[in-house]
Amino acid sequence: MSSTASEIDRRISRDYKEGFVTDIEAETLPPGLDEGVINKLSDIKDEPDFMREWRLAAYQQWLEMKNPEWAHVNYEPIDYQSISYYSAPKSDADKPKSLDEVDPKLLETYDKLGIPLIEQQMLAGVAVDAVFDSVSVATTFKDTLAKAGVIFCSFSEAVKEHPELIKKYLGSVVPVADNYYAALNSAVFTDGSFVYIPKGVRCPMELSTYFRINASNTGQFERTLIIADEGSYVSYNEGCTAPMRDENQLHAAVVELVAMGDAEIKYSTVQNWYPGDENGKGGIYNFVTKRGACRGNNAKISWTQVETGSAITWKYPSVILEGDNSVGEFYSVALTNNYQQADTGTKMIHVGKNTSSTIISKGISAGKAHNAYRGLVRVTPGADNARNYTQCDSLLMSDECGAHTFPYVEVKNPTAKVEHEATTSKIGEDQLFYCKQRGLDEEDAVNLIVNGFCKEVFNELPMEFAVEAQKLLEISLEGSVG
Amino acid sequence: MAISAEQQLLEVARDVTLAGNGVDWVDAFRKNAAKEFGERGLPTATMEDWRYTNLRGLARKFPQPVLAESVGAQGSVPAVPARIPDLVTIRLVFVDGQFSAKLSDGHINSSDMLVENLASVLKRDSSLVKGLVGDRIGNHAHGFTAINSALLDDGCVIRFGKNADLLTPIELVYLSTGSERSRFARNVIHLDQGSRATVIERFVSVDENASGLTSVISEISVGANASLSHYRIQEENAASSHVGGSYVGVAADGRYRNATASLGGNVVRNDLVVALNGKGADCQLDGVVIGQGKTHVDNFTRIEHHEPHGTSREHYRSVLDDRSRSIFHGRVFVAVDAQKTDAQQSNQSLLLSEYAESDSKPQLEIYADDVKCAHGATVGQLDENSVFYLKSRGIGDDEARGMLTVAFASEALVELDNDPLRKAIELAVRSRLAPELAEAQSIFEDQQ
Repeated sequence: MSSTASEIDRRISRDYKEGFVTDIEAETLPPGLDEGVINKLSDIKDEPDFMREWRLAAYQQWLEMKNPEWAHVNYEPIDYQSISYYSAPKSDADKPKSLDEVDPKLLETYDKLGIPLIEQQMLAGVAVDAVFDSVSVATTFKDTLAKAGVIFCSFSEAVKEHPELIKKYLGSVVPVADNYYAALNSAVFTDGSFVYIPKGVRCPMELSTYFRINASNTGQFERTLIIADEGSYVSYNEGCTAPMRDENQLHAAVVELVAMGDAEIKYSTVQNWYPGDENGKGGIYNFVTKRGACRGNNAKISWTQVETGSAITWKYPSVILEGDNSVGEFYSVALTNNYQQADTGTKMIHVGKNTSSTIISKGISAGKAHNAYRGLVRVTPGADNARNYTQCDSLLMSDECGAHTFPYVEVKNPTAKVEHEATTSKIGEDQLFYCKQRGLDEEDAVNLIVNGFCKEVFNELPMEFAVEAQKLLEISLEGSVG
Repeated sequence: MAISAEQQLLEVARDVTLAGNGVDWVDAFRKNAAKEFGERGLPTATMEDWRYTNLRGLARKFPQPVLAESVGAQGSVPAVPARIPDLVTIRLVFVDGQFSAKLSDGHINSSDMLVENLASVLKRDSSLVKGLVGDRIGNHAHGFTAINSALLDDGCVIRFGKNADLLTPIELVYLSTGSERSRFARNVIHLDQGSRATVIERFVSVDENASGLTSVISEISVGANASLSHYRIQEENAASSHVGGSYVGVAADGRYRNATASLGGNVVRNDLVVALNGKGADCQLDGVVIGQGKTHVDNFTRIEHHEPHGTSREHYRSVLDDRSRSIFHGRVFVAVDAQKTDAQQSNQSLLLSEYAESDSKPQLEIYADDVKCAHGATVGQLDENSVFYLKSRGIGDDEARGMLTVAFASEALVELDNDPLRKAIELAVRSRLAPELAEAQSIFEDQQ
């Protein structure tokens, strides 16, 4: 056990170090950030002028902003000049030749998650040769989507092919100056996904970043924009339950969702990036800005997230309920173990009439981790009959961890009904005893109870995702019982 | 930066002889506090703990402080509010923060009980409060605590020895007179092991011309197995602001109860910080806010569980009409060692007007695993089914709503363990929310 663990440490730490080394290949920018770097980035991506100007303006904004310090997390200050802001996808020569070269512990995890061999290769970053043409899978996808009129492509492609949509919607939900990391992302984002669902179209399949193979290496500054035009529906899955190989330490993504009248967007995330080792060394910093706007009447945006990875998570998927009768939902499971820190939650801004929002947040804290829910429910003066229900439960699994709840409820309309409930407790001795008495060992008993605790959120996930998420939780909690 | 109003305030203080001048520790205490205030200034809305309360008005023109030497120039004796019906108390009256022997019942100075105003304690034997003044605020200091310390002069000292038990409540009445004045007072309450006391604080404006700021800060230690019931009834007029604070430490098996009724005022801020420092310590904090006119009430509470087996209960209710606004900040902090903590917190608001606002921040910060902690917050309206039920029993619409509104507010007071006082507060609530339902004139009414 210990030998394999140190093997992982060695491999992972080596990999992460490489992310910061100036091992310049054809298209890798040296570390540092200034206007020149942004111009070069724009050149490499061959972007139109409007995009370049937008980036440069964002950079100027960023320079004037300060690193936010209000979150309940601790980390060493980040040196933004030591990061390389663009690196081309690794050439096949650098990648492991086959699964035999991949860390056995990683493979074990894949097996537990029941991931097919081919996918395992992809996830582990194995150079997949042409025999298995994964691209063909993607191509079949594209045909089906094109028939429905759905645009689903990488952000860089969209900038070139659909500049009018980008111009219209980019930054319309998360303004450049929204926060420090959003500004940074706006200046240096490398790629991401773009989705446009035309009027009245129900997207024929669940979209997933996972299948967007040609642009799988989107780097650390990802930008996603999803627009659901009137009466359309889309379900979008981001991330993957399997631990991803990743070379970057800082991730500052921005996701913008726009739902027009009668449209619905369902956005599900499973995040399982490298959380650092059991001593809290290494791990990804995940500083994400996610926000959706219900622009028309009867629009609906639903966020579901399962957060188990990353050393630090700073993430508040939010919904601005502008249209009348619009609906916002947030379902979250955040699990922190060892030295992980999570400060996550949501914001529901009620603007239109008869709007409603639901927040279900489940925090699980084990080891020496800290898990905070931070949420805002704001009912503006015009939001008649707004309704919100919030439930935040925390589960403590060790005597060294912390669980915190910081909700903000701001109501300026007398017809609003807002409810917030939160509890914090540990797994009851009697619950455990009951399960053990029925023949379950302690670990299974804990898994059973934890899964029950998270049920309300898992129910919101697409089915395959939910099954994987459940397994993921079990794996993440391994060894934390006792 | 030009000299601010606050700075001028300190200049004024320099020329006045405050109680205890010449005593080394008192001088040093004031000097340090003045320096601290110079550094901190008044809190601004950019500070997280003050984000909903804007004090720009105060910062622009800080009301002239009433200090020892300026009292006495007042001439006529102000009218004193009526006693609480059916309740015998020992009353100490402070006029603009200065003790008035004429209006008070007197002092207690026995072998195990001391109830005396701070200024005379400082003059007589300052060692009685040495180490107690400035002891409890600690990390919770802000501009107002600093200025209060810098202008340390009068207030009330309550010191009970071991097992001292006073069944008669001590009633502290703070009268504000005159326009645009700021009034400061500092209370020190120290209950030794096994002792018991009840303290009622009442904040009253003598007439509608009284305006400015009242800032009364209490530093309280409740010893092992001791018990303190502490009530604050704040009923100043709409032109008066109030920034008060109670900083409490509770030792093992000690018990602290607080009820805060905010029934009036312009900008009102109540800080209530309770540290449960001993095993099995217990606190219960109740609050009711009746917001009318432009009243802005900010209740900032913090309960710290530092030792195992502590219990805390917190229950705040607001009824908000007109353009009033209520802010509830409640943090429950549970330290690593505080296993078996049982903490419950709730904040409920009733909005009656489209211009009223309720902001609620109930927070849990928990570092121990074997705990039971819960909080809840709701904002809403009267239940139409309940209104319908009452109407179907022949009660008019207005009356039914009045009854339900009063019942909603009064629910925060059900645990208040002093019957006459509870009735008096309930009556005050009723006369404000549903005057037609008030059976008798409230004693908290019409004394302006």
